[in-house]
Parts: sequence; structure tokens; C-alpha cells
Amino acid sequence: MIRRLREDRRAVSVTVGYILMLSVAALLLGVVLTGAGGLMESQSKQVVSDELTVVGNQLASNIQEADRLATIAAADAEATDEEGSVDLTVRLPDRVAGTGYLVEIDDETITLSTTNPDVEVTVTHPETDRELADSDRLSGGDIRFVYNTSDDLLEVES
Amino acid sequence: MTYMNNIKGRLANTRSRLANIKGRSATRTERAQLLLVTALALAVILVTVALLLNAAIFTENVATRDTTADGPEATELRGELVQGIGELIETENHKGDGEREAVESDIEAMEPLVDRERARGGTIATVSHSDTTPGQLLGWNDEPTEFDAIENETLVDELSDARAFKFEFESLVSLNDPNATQIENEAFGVRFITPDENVTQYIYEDEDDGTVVIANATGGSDPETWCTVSRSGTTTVDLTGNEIRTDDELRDCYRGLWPSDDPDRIDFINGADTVGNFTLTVDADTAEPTDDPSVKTSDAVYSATVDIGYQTTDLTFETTARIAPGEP
Repeated sequence: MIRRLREDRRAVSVTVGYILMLSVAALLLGVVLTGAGGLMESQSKQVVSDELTVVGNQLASNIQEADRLATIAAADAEATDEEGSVDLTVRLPDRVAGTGYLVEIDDETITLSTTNPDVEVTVTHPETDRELADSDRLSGGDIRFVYNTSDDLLEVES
Repeated sequence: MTYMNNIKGRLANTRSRLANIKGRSATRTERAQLLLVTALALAVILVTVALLLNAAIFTENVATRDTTADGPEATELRGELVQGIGELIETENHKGDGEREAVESDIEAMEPLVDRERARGGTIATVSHSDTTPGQLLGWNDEPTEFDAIENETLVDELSDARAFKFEFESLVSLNDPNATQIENEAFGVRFITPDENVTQYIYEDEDDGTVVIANATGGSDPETWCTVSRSGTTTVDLTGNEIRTDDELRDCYRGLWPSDDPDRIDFINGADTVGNFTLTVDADTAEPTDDPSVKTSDAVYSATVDIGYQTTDLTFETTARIAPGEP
């Protein structure tokens, strides 16, 4: 019986060999890419999230720095009736893990987000002594804090 | 014929074998392509992992860097200038002449020093004199003197601003665990008359526990102990700096010694048996110090105003600071 099967050459052809080989190759590639793709996506999200957190914390510490200087300038201006000003630029990366990001600064929170991968990080910062001006979502990169005692408003620009 | 058939048969076998060999070779080629494609995919994945790892390492690096943009240095510069110019004003005042021109020229002399010092650190720092306010420095004519030397008890009236109000006592009234009435009637007091109420700081020695006590009375209320320090040698009280000091101890009185509202008038009460020195600098615009001969009044600089600038690649800070050392 076994000998008959071994010697049976029916359906043995180059075409069938091709089909079987391509099927196995496609199956293998599919499994590898699916498994590794999921791993890559989660790692990519983690890296983006970490970088956004660092950027957010840098921004928070600089908001406090700008606020501290603005408070000193405001106190001096109140005592002397002269004007004072603060212009502080925070050097931040344009992209995180190869993707652009957006920054939104509110009274006590900083929200940083990317769309690909879809990640959003919120960092808190203490409420500022000087009022923080409303600002739109800013694209990643350098951010400026500008304060003039005449307006008494800490403005955020990109 | 048979011979020919044999040859044909052998040829057919040979073709069949060749076809099999070709087929196997084709399969091997496919296997190589498969390995190539798989290797390529793995290479892409590994490169991406390396890139992500690199980004993570960079993130760690960035996270541990000093991130603030020179703000502390700017604050430090302002603080140094305020302290330095404050000491300069006090030196000029206590030399006896308190000339505004001298203070102004001293500040101008500081300008290149500040600029040069900061330029070494790659920053631009500027200071320039803007204005000075005239004042008067009050103290005893003969030091030390008993604190009842002023006939009507009023040291200064029509006061707008005052600073650096300090006492150095050689002897104080000594009371033994006194009650409120004893303190009010016997202890030396500095009375601040504000638009709304009177605030009096009584200063005496408590024999019972060997301390120097400052008791505070607001309006008509009984005096309450605010600050104590163990008795030892000369007692120094800084009413604007909220401090009491003896030879052994320094005590912070936490904003309790100067009234919350600026006083219009300052009186010395129950000054008998309390001996020492005092200094007070007042704004000369409105203040009317006593003309009692026991009190010496000399010209002084009350405050100075300076423009301060600090500039780096990331920060520009400009302010105008008013410097009045020892102002509450």
C-alpha cells in the first residue's frame, strides 16, 4: 500500500508545488507580521506616551518659572509704577518618536496628543499666580511665554 | 525495431528525470525567496525596534536635563542687586550724610561690574539707576538714652513709609510674671497709631523665667505674649524685620511685630528704666519727626529705584525694582 502511494506520481506537478509553497509563505508572513505588528504598535505607543510625559513636565516647570518671574515683575511694577516684562522660550522637540504632536495648556493641566499612534497625555501643573491667557492647540516645538505688566496676562505662543 | 524502441524508452526516462530535477530546482528557488522575504520583514522589525529603543533612551536623557530657561539666574541677579544696593544705601545713611548723589554714583559704578561678570556666563545683564527717594534717619542724640526722653512721647507723626526700625536695649523693665495691667502700666511700649486702631508692642524682662518678652496689644485688648527669647547680654529687637535677638539666641516673630496697616504715628510709652539705642528711617515726603533735642534727625536715602535687565538666548527679563532695605 505504502509503496503504491510512493510510486503514485498523480497530482505531482510544478503548479501544485508553486501553489502549496506560496500558501505556506503567505501564512508564515501573515503570522509574523501580525504578531510583530501588534508588538510594535504597543511599543510605539509606550515610547510616544513617555516622550509626551517628559515634554509635558518640561513645559510645566517652565510655566512655573515664567510665572515666578512674572510675579516678581508685577510686584516691582506695583511698587514703582514702571513696566516690566518676561519673555521665556521653552526648547521642545518638533516630533516625538517620529510623529508630530499638539499641545494644549489650560489653567492647571497640559494636554499633549498625537494622532498616529493615537496617544493623549495629561500633565498637571500648579495654578499660576498670574492669569494664563487662553490659547489654541499649539503644534509641537518651541513654545514662548510672554508677560507684560501692563496686560498682567501670561500669554502662550508657539 | 526492438532496438529503436529501447532507445526511445531510455530517452523518455531521461526526459522524465530531467523534468524531476528541474522541478526540484524550481522548488529550491521558491524556498530561497521565502527566506529572503522573511529575513527582510524581520530586518524591518528589528530596525524599528532599534529606533524605538533609541527614542526611549533619548527620552530618558531629555528627562534628566536641566530644563528651565535661566529663570533662577535672573531671580538671583535681581536678589543680589537688591541686597547689594540695600547695603550700599544703609552704609551711606549711617556714615552720617546720606547723600542721594553718592548713592546714585555708587549704583552707576556697579553697572560695568554687573555687565562684565554676567558676560562671562554668556548672558547680558544690565543695571541702571532710575530714582532715589529722600528720607530721614532718626536715633538718640546721645547713645544710649532712656526711652522716656521724648517729652510728648511722639517719635514721628504724619508718617507715610518707614523702614529699618531697630532697638538695642542695654536694660529693660523687669517684671515678675506680670498681669495685663502691670504690663500696660510699667513695660516699655512702642505704640503704632494706624487709621483704624492702635497696636502696641510691650518689651520687658520676665524675672520668673529669665526671658525677654514682647507682648502685643491691639486696640483696648489685654497684652498677649507674642515672642520670647532667653535673657543674655544685649537685647536687639527689629520691629520691621520681626526678629528678637540676645547674645545667645535669635528668634523669628513671624510678622507679628509691625501692624498690618501702615501707621500714621509712632509713640514711645512707659520709657522710664528702659535704656538703649534705636534707629528708624522714614520717608521724608510727609513725615514729621519730633523736634525734641534728645532725638537726632539726619538726612538719608529712603529708597532707590533701579532698572534691571537679564537676557539669554531663551529668556528676556526686565523689571524696575524699588529697594528700601528693612521695609516691612
